[in-house]
Amino acid sequence: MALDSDLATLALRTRALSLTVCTTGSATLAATATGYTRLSGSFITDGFRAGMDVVSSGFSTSANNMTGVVTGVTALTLTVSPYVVTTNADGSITVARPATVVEASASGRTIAAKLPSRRAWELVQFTPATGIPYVTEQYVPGGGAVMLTAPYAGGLAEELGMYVLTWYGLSGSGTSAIRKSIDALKALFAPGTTLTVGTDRLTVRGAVGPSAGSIITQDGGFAACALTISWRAETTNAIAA
Amino acid sequence: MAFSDDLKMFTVKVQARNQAVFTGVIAETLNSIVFGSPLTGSPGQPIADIDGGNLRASWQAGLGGPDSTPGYGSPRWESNTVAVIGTMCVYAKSNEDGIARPGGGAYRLLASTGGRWSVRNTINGFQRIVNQVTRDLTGAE
Repeated sequence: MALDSDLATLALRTRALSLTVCTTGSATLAATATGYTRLSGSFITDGFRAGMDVVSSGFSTSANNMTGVVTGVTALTLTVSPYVVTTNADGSITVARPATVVEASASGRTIAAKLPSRRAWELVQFTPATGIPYVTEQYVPGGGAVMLTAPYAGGLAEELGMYVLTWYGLSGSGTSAIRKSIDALKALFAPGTTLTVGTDRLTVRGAVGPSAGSIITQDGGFAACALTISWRAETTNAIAA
Repeated sequence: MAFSDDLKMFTVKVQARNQAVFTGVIAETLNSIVFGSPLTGSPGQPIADIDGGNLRASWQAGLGGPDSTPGYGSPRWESNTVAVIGTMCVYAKSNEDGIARPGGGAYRLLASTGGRWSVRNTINGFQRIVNQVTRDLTGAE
């Protein structure tokens, strides 16, 4: 049978969701009214850049376990703008901007930049929020199955398709946040990466490897960069009796 | 007939077939981008009643050297470049990936009726084009 496109989309999406652009790992961190601080190590060396979407965890005060946008980075200070986006019944969104609160330094805390928490999955209603990065996806089905072996019935069929992730970062923050994020995503879908799709396999192609476009300024304070992931899937050709 | 004559005839036949494959591939590649192709999965460029057919009609293929390529200022000709397929249409890129560009617009509406990822799908499936054109010329199934 042909590749299950729904399962393939989910497999690719799941892979993208496992992205970690950069992280402090489990570290000793404190919270302030404007973000986080540390006494050792470096947020810059860890890879954080202004414009990144980050998630924090391990703090005792719930307000400090947040999702937010990095607005400033030094070695020992990470300035963030937390946000909470609520989708209303009519599809509109409400954006709250709670602040972090002062909390003394302790170990076992983590801040990480991952796939933006705001994701516009295909055909799911989505409204961008000003100042908050987001990502869109597009699954492009394979360009026709080709029989690789005879006999046709039960033989090996191949499909070639694409999965496109477009990263909408913030214009005005420089290119680093978007570039580092796209590079991390490209590494996550390195040629040869194999995903299980039902009983079939989907492999990221090497002959036409993942490629990122240039960063294009958009309306609303965003800048877009698309990563195109070309894949190949092998399925068993089914001939109707 | 001498062996050298047979060799020359074989060489001419191979050259003729190579030339036929070459021109066939160029034609099929352009066709894939502009009109779509089941070989590559390319949807083709938008239908004419969306933008008056401007984008669809703008694609051209140029063979030979830079001087013979119509409509292009300074294409990136490298030592192994034998043909160029491209467009001067300002909104072609946005129609390809759906990302808005200054002066070009997002053209998401255009993309929904065909045109999104035509170039990329054609690139991805280029080997299939070559294989099919070769098969057609050899008469193989």
